[in-house]
Amino acid sequence: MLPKRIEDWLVQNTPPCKEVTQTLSESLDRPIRLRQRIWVRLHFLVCKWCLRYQQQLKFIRKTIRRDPQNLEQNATLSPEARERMKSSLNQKNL
Amino acid sequence: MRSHLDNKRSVPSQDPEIALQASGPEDWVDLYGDYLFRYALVRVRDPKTAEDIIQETFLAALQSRHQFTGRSSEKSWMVGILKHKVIDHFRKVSREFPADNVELSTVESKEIFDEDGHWKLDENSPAEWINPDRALEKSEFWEVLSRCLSKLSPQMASAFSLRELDELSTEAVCEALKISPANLWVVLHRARMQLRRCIEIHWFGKNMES
Repeated sequence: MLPKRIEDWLVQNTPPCKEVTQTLSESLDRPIRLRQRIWVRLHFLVCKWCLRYQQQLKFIRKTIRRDPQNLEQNATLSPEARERMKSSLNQKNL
Repeated sequence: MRSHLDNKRSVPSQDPEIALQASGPEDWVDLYGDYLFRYALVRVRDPKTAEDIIQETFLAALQSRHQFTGRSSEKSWMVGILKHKVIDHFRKVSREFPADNVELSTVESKEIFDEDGHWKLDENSPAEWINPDRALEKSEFWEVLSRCLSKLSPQMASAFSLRELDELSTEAVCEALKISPANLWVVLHRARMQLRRCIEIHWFGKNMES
Protein backbone atom coordinates (compact mmCIF):
# COMPACT_ATOMS: atom_id res chain seq x y z
CA MET A 1 0.00 0.00 0.00
CA LEU A 2 1.20 3.46 -0.93
CA PRO A 3 1.08 6.24 1.64
CA LYS A 4 -2.07 8.29 1.07
CA ARG A 5 -0.08 11.42 0.29
CA ILE A 6 1.84 9.76 -2.54
CA GLU A 7 -1.27 8.08 -3.87
CA ASP A 8 -3.09 11.42 -4.06
CA TRP A 9 -0.13 13.00 -5.76
CA LEU A 10 -0.03 10.25 -8.40
CA VAL A 11 -3.76 10.48 -9.04
CA GLN A 12 -3.44 14.23 -9.55
CA ASN A 13 -0.25 14.29 -11.55
CA THR A 14 -0.09 11.23 -13.77
CA PRO A 15 -1.89 11.58 -17.11
CA PRO A 16 -5.62 10.80 -17.08
CA CYS A 17 -6.85 7.34 -18.13
CA LYS A 18 -8.17 8.73 -21.38
CA GLU A 19 -4.64 9.68 -22.37
CA VAL A 20 -3.04 6.57 -20.90
CA THR A 21 -5.29 4.26 -22.92
CA GLN A 22 -4.29 6.05 -26.12
CA THR A 23 -0.61 5.70 -25.19
CA LEU A 24 -1.10 2.01 -24.39
CA SER A 25 -2.64 1.42 -27.78
CA GLU A 26 0.10 3.37 -29.56
CA SER A 27 2.75 1.41 -27.73
CA LEU A 28 1.56 -1.60 -29.76
CA ASP A 29 2.31 0.28 -32.98
CA ARG A 30 5.44 2.32 -32.33
CA PRO A 31 8.15 2.92 -29.74
CA ILE A 32 6.97 5.20 -26.92
CA ARG A 33 9.24 7.80 -25.35
CA LEU A 34 10.86 6.82 -22.07
CA ARG A 35 9.27 9.75 -20.25
CA GLN A 36 5.82 8.66 -21.37
CA ARG A 37 6.53 5.09 -20.36
CA ILE A 38 7.52 6.20 -16.88
CA TRP A 39 4.34 8.23 -16.45
CA VAL A 40 2.29 5.23 -17.52
CA ARG A 41 4.10 3.04 -15.00
CA LEU A 42 3.44 5.56 -12.24
CA HIS A 43 -0.19 5.75 -13.30
CA PHE A 44 -0.51 1.98 -12.97
CA LEU A 45 0.39 2.31 -9.28
CA VAL A 46 -2.92 4.04 -8.68
CA CYS A 47 -5.07 2.65 -11.53
CA LYS A 48 -5.68 -1.06 -11.82
CA TRP A 49 -8.13 -0.45 -14.67
CA CYS A 50 -5.48 0.92 -17.00
CA LEU A 51 -3.18 -1.92 -16.04
CA ARG A 52 -5.94 -4.40 -16.93
CA TYR A 53 -6.52 -2.47 -20.13
CA GLN A 54 -2.91 -2.99 -21.15
CA GLN A 55 -2.98 -6.70 -20.33
CA GLN A 56 -6.21 -7.17 -22.24
CA LEU A 57 -4.98 -5.37 -25.34
CA LYS A 58 -1.92 -7.60 -25.32
CA PHE A 59 -4.10 -10.67 -24.90
CA ILE A 60 -6.27 -9.66 -27.86
CA ARG A 61 -3.22 -9.09 -30.05
CA LYS A 62 -1.64 -12.40 -29.09
CA THR A 63 -4.88 -14.28 -29.64
CA ILE A 64 -5.67 -12.85 -33.05
CA ARG A 65 -2.14 -13.10 -34.37
CA ARG A 66 -1.59 -16.65 -33.25
CA ASP A 67 -4.72 -18.32 -34.60
CA PRO A 68 -6.53 -16.04 -37.02
CA GLN A 69 -7.97 -19.03 -38.88
CA ASN A 70 -9.98 -19.92 -35.75
CA LEU A 71 -12.15 -16.91 -36.48
CA GLU A 72 -13.77 -18.58 -39.47
CA GLN A 73 -12.90 -22.24 -39.13
CA ASN A 74 -16.15 -23.58 -40.57
CA ALA A 75 -16.78 -21.15 -43.40
CA THR A 76 -17.08 -22.60 -46.88
CA LEU A 77 -17.99 -21.13 -50.25
CA SER A 78 -21.67 -21.45 -51.01
CA PRO A 79 -22.53 -23.85 -53.87
CA GLU A 80 -23.82 -20.89 -55.90
CA ALA A 81 -20.58 -18.92 -55.48
CA ARG A 82 -18.63 -22.03 -56.39
CA GLU A 83 -20.59 -22.50 -59.61
CA ARG A 84 -20.35 -18.83 -60.49
CA MET A 85 -16.58 -18.87 -60.09
CA LYS A 86 -16.17 -22.07 -62.07
CA SER A 87 -18.20 -20.84 -64.98
CA SER A 88 -16.45 -17.49 -65.12
CA LEU A 89 -13.07 -19.23 -65.00
CA ASN A 90 -14.19 -21.56 -67.80
CA GLN A 91 -15.38 -18.70 -69.93
CA LYS A 92 -12.14 -16.79 -69.61
CA ASN A 93 -10.03 -19.89 -70.04
CA LEU A 94 -11.33 -20.77 -73.50
CA MET B 1 -3.76 -25.43 -73.64
CA ARG B 2 -6.08 -27.62 -71.74
CA SER B 3 -4.94 -30.89 -73.17
CA HIS B 4 -1.38 -29.92 -72.42
CA LEU B 5 -2.26 -29.40 -68.75
CA ASP B 6 -4.30 -32.57 -68.66
CA ASN B 7 -1.29 -34.46 -69.91
CA LYS B 8 0.85 -33.04 -67.19
CA ARG B 9 -1.71 -33.96 -64.60
CA SER B 10 -1.86 -37.53 -65.72
CA VAL B 11 1.84 -38.00 -65.05
CA PRO B 12 1.91 -40.14 -61.93
CA SER B 13 3.57 -38.32 -59.10
CA GLN B 14 4.04 -39.08 -55.44
CA ASP B 15 4.65 -35.48 -54.57
CA PRO B 16 1.36 -33.67 -53.89
CA GLU B 17 3.02 -30.27 -54.43
CA ILE B 18 3.98 -31.20 -57.97
CA ALA B 19 0.52 -32.55 -58.59
CA LEU B 20 -0.97 -29.28 -57.34
CA GLN B 21 1.31 -27.16 -59.43
CA ALA B 22 0.10 -28.91 -62.51
CA SER B 23 -3.55 -28.26 -61.75
CA GLY B 24 -5.63 -26.40 -64.29
CA PRO B 25 -7.89 -23.41 -63.67
CA GLU B 26 -10.91 -25.71 -63.82
CA ASP B 27 -9.73 -27.28 -60.54
CA TRP B 28 -8.88 -24.09 -58.70
CA VAL B 29 -12.29 -23.52 -57.13
CA ASP B 30 -12.33 -27.01 -55.65
CA LEU B 31 -8.69 -27.00 -54.64
CA TYR B 32 -8.35 -23.54 -53.14
CA GLY B 33 -11.82 -21.98 -52.98
CA ASP B 34 -12.62 -22.69 -49.34
CA TYR B 35 -9.14 -21.93 -48.10
CA LEU B 36 -9.03 -18.58 -49.89
CA PHE B 37 -12.59 -17.84 -48.76
CA ARG B 38 -11.69 -18.29 -45.09
CA TYR B 39 -8.54 -16.26 -45.55
CA ALA B 40 -10.51 -13.39 -47.09
CA LEU B 41 -13.47 -13.67 -44.72
CA VAL B 42 -11.29 -13.38 -41.64
CA ARG B 43 -10.10 -10.06 -43.05
CA VAL B 44 -13.08 -8.45 -44.76
CA ARG B 45 -15.78 -9.99 -42.50
CA ASP B 46 -18.50 -9.95 -45.15
CA PRO B 47 -19.15 -13.21 -47.11
CA LYS B 48 -20.38 -11.44 -50.24
CA THR B 49 -17.33 -9.18 -50.34
CA ALA B 50 -15.04 -12.14 -49.69
CA GLU B 51 -16.61 -14.05 -52.60
CA ASP B 52 -16.13 -11.11 -54.95
CA ILE B 53 -12.52 -10.77 -53.94
CA ILE B 54 -11.86 -14.45 -54.55
CA GLN B 55 -13.49 -14.32 -57.95
CA GLU B 56 -11.17 -11.43 -58.81
CA THR B 57 -8.25 -13.39 -57.44
CA PHE B 58 -8.97 -16.39 -59.66
CA LEU B 59 -9.32 -14.20 -62.73
CA ALA B 60 -6.11 -12.36 -61.96
CA ALA B 61 -4.39 -15.71 -61.45
CA LEU B 62 -5.67 -16.90 -64.80
CA GLN B 63 -4.31 -13.83 -66.53
CA SER B 64 -0.89 -13.99 -64.93
CA ARG B 65 -0.60 -17.76 -64.99
CA HIS B 66 2.42 -17.64 -67.28
CA GLN B 67 4.25 -15.68 -64.57
CA PHE B 68 3.84 -18.43 -62.03
CA THR B 69 7.29 -19.92 -61.74
CA GLY B 70 6.55 -22.87 -59.54
CA ARG B 71 9.07 -21.69 -56.99
CA SER B 72 6.29 -21.49 -54.41
CA SER B 73 3.27 -23.73 -54.28
CA GLU B 74 0.34 -22.73 -56.41
CA LYS B 75 -1.65 -22.16 -53.24
CA SER B 76 0.74 -19.62 -51.74
CA TRP B 77 1.01 -17.94 -55.14
CA MET B 78 -2.74 -17.43 -55.05
CA VAL B 79 -2.71 -16.25 -51.45
CA GLY B 80 -0.18 -13.66 -52.59
CA ILE B 81 -2.59 -12.41 -55.25
CA LEU B 82 -5.46 -12.49 -52.76
CA LYS B 83 -3.50 -10.38 -50.28
CA HIS B 84 -3.17 -7.63 -52.86
CA LYS B 85 -6.85 -7.82 -53.70
CA VAL B 86 -7.74 -7.49 -50.02
CA ILE B 87 -5.53 -4.41 -49.70
CA ASP B 88 -7.15 -2.92 -52.83
CA HIS B 89 -10.51 -3.48 -51.18
CA PHE B 90 -9.42 -1.78 -47.95
CA ARG B 91 -8.05 1.16 -49.90
CA LYS B 92 -11.43 1.56 -51.58
CA VAL B 93 -13.14 1.42 -48.18
CA SER B 94 -10.72 3.98 -46.83
CA ARG B 95 -11.59 6.35 -49.68
CA GLU B 96 -15.31 5.85 -49.13
CA PHE B 97 -15.17 6.36 -45.38
CA PRO B 98 -12.49 8.99 -44.84
CA ALA B 99 -11.10 9.27 -41.35
CA ASP B 100 -13.32 11.55 -39.29
CA ASN B 101 -12.00 13.39 -36.28
CA VAL B 102 -8.64 12.69 -34.79
CA GLU B 103 -9.77 11.89 -31.29
CA LEU B 104 -12.01 9.34 -29.67
CA SER B 105 -15.36 10.73 -30.71
CA THR B 106 -16.96 12.83 -27.99
CA VAL B 107 -19.85 10.42 -27.60
CA GLU B 108 -17.59 7.42 -27.14
CA SER B 109 -15.36 9.30 -24.81
CA LYS B 110 -18.17 10.62 -22.59
CA GLU B 111 -19.55 7.12 -22.18
CA ILE B 112 -16.23 5.80 -21.01
CA PHE B 113 -14.42 8.59 -19.15
CA ASP B 114 -15.55 11.25 -16.67
CA GLU B 115 -14.80 14.96 -17.02
CA ASP B 116 -11.30 14.53 -15.64
CA GLY B 117 -10.53 11.80 -18.15
CA HIS B 118 -10.65 8.96 -15.62
CA TRP B 119 -12.57 5.73 -16.14
CA LYS B 120 -16.17 6.02 -15.13
CA LEU B 121 -16.22 3.14 -12.71
CA ASP B 122 -19.17 1.33 -14.20
CA GLU B 123 -19.60 -1.49 -16.71
CA ASN B 124 -17.32 0.35 -19.14
CA SER B 125 -14.17 0.24 -17.04
CA PRO B 126 -12.04 -2.85 -17.60
CA ALA B 127 -13.06 -5.75 -15.37
CA GLU B 128 -10.72 -8.53 -14.39
CA TRP B 129 -10.64 -11.31 -16.99
CA ILE B 130 -10.34 -14.63 -15.24
CA ASN B 131 -8.14 -17.22 -16.99
CA PRO B 132 -8.27 -15.63 -20.43
CA ASP B 133 -6.09 -18.34 -21.94
CA ARG B 134 -8.69 -20.97 -21.15
CA ALA B 135 -11.14 -19.13 -23.39
CA LEU B 136 -8.95 -19.86 -26.41
CA GLU B 137 -9.86 -23.54 -26.25
CA LYS B 138 -13.56 -22.81 -26.57
CA SER B 139 -15.06 -22.40 -30.03
CA GLU B 140 -17.80 -20.17 -28.56
CA PHE B 141 -15.11 -17.69 -27.55
CA TRP B 142 -13.87 -17.48 -31.13
CA GLU B 143 -17.42 -16.92 -32.31
CA VAL B 144 -17.75 -14.01 -29.90
CA LEU B 145 -14.44 -12.60 -31.07
CA SER B 146 -15.51 -12.98 -34.68
CA ARG B 147 -18.81 -11.20 -34.04
CA CYS B 148 -17.07 -8.40 -32.15
CA LEU B 149 -14.66 -7.89 -35.06
CA SER B 150 -17.60 -7.70 -37.45
CA LYS B 151 -19.01 -4.81 -35.45
CA LEU B 152 -16.04 -2.55 -36.11
CA SER B 153 -16.71 0.26 -38.58
CA PRO B 154 -15.29 -0.35 -42.09
CA GLN B 155 -12.54 2.13 -41.41
CA MET B 156 -11.54 0.55 -38.09
CA ALA B 157 -11.80 -2.95 -39.53
CA SER B 158 -9.45 -2.15 -42.43
CA ALA B 159 -6.77 -0.64 -40.23
CA PHE B 160 -7.11 -3.33 -37.58
CA SER B 161 -7.00 -6.14 -40.08
CA LEU B 162 -3.85 -4.92 -41.83
CA ARG B 163 -2.10 -4.17 -38.58
CA GLU B 164 -3.11 -7.19 -36.50
CA LEU B 165 -3.81 -9.97 -38.98
CA ASP B 166 -1.27 -9.12 -41.66
CA GLU B 167 1.13 -7.56 -39.15
CA LEU B 168 2.02 -4.73 -41.49
CA SER B 169 4.06 -1.87 -40.03
CA THR B 170 2.47 1.51 -39.32
CA GLU B 171 4.13 2.88 -42.45
CA ALA B 172 2.82 0.08 -44.65
CA VAL B 173 -0.74 0.40 -43.31
CA CYS B 174 -0.68 4.18 -43.84
CA GLU B 175 0.60 3.66 -47.37
CA ALA B 176 -2.10 1.09 -48.13
CA LEU B 177 -4.96 3.17 -46.71
CA LYS B 178 -3.57 6.59 -47.66
CA ILE B 179 -3.95 8.00 -44.15
CA SER B 180 -1.52 9.73 -41.79
CA PRO B 181 0.18 7.87 -38.91
CA ALA B 182 -1.57 10.09 -36.34
CA ASN B 183 -4.85 9.15 -37.91
CA LEU B 184 -4.03 5.47 -37.97
CA TRP B 185 -3.09 5.41 -34.28
CA VAL B 186 -6.40 6.96 -33.31
CA VAL B 187 -8.37 4.58 -35.51
CA LEU B 188 -6.54 1.60 -34.00
CA HIS B 189 -7.07 2.97 -30.50
CA ARG B 190 -10.80 3.24 -31.12
CA ALA B 191 -10.93 -0.22 -32.65
CA ARG B 192 -9.14 -1.79 -29.67
CA MET B 193 -11.26 0.12 -27.18
CA GLN B 194 -14.46 -1.10 -28.82
CA LEU B 195 -13.24 -4.64 -29.36
CA ARG B 196 -12.02 -5.02 -25.77
CA ARG B 197 -15.34 -3.86 -24.42
CA CYS B 198 -17.32 -6.11 -26.75
CA ILE B 199 -15.30 -9.17 -25.74
CA GLU B 200 -15.71 -8.33 -22.08
CA ILE B 201 -19.47 -7.88 -22.34
CA HIS B 202 -20.10 -10.96 -24.45
CA TRP B 203 -17.59 -13.36 -22.97
CA PHE B 204 -15.77 -12.44 -19.81
CA GLY B 205 -18.73 -10.65 -18.26
CA LYS B 206 -20.89 -13.71 -18.66
CA ASN B 207 -18.21 -16.17 -17.70
CA MET B 208 -16.92 -14.20 -14.74
CA GLU B 209 -18.34 -16.52 -12.08
CA SER B 210 -17.76 -19.89 -13.69
